[in-house]
Amino acid sequence: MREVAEFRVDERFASMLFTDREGKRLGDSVRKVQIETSDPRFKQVGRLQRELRVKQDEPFFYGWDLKHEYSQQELQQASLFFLKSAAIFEPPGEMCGTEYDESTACPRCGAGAEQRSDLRLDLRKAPRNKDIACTIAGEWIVSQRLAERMIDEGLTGLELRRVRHHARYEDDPLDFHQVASGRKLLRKAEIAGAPHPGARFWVWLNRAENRALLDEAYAEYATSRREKARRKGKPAPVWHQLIVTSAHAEIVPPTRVGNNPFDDDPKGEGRCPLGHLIGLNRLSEVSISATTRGDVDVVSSRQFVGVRRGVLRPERLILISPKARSIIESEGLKGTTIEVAYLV
Amino acid sequence: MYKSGLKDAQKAYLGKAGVDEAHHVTPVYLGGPRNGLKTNLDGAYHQRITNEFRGLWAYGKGMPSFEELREILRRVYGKFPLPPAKGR
Repeated sequence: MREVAEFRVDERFASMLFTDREGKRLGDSVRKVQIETSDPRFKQVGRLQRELRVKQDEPFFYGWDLKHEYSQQELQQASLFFLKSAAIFEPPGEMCGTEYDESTACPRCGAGAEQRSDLRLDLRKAPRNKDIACTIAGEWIVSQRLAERMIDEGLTGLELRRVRHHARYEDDPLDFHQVASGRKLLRKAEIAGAPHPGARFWVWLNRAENRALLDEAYAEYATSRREKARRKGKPAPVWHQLIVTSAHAEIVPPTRVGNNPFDDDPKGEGRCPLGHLIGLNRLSEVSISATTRGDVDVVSSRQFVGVRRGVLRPERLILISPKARSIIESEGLKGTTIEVAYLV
Repeated sequence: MYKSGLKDAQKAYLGKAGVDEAHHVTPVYLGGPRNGLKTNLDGAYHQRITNEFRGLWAYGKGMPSFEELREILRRVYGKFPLPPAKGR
């Protein structure tokens, strides 16, 4: 196994550790750098992060990721896999009318609220050409194609429920010229000396007194789009929600969970005192207690990882059998990263 | 700074210039509240801000701590300030 760390390094500080040719510049302010965690510089990244925060109140890196790469032999010998990630999209279900019962969530960490309605999503935003995807709130969906394979192959430990389409036109970009109230707003701005689309216009637009007219323009746009969609009658793409029916897998050491690769959250600020939430981010491969594995093809962890913040919810980790992995990865089904998981 | 940033963005993203887009000041993918503070931005400038956020913290790559989130917000809006919005 090869463990590779990716860091989004502040370009102003990148030369403190990396040559000019290393990494990929993302715009002019950040560089994406990948190094193996066995590289001596990996620890230096952590040291610089601490030092720069103390001395300059700025971080060395912002975002990060840990990837685990395997040989064919390692993959063939593995008896369990972790469904790491999929194509991510928003808005999440809660913003599209999906109902959650917050009274069932842990009062301390907010994990575990039960979904009380069908999953409703704006399926226009679901990734195209993918077979498995996940909202930013951890709602997993699979394509019709993958759903058929899962059923035909008799995968156990899961349910598939149809996802309902609920378009959120209110979040679409709005061309003011398209709607009457938008054109009215443009005329009003012109009279106010803030012609569209100059800098003064956007300042003027955000004034409280213009809110009602702006809301009217969005409402008018949304109504026209809904009417247009109804007339066209074009069906939304078919997706199914992946529901894992068993959540007994116990995450155990040496699994690491914490804030980032250099911060295991020693104070436990991201952990639930009642044991539901075990931290903000997964920092290693996943190990589970062998006695809690069960014999189904798809199982999720008892514990949660993440945070209840805004519309984001702590998530259970999903573990799959070799059979499930082969189906997900076969026939060019796209959209997910799978890692080896371990039974302890 | 906002004015010049807007002009640059409108040149870079012609197709988005002049279109209104609602922007969550704290992006929801980083844990910003659903009904949190929003600002209406030119689509081109919004694209610049979105790119900056995604560059600093990619989609679906874990969650920042509160301290990290504060650093991200400070960095993005230090570079791409929001239009002043009196009265909101």
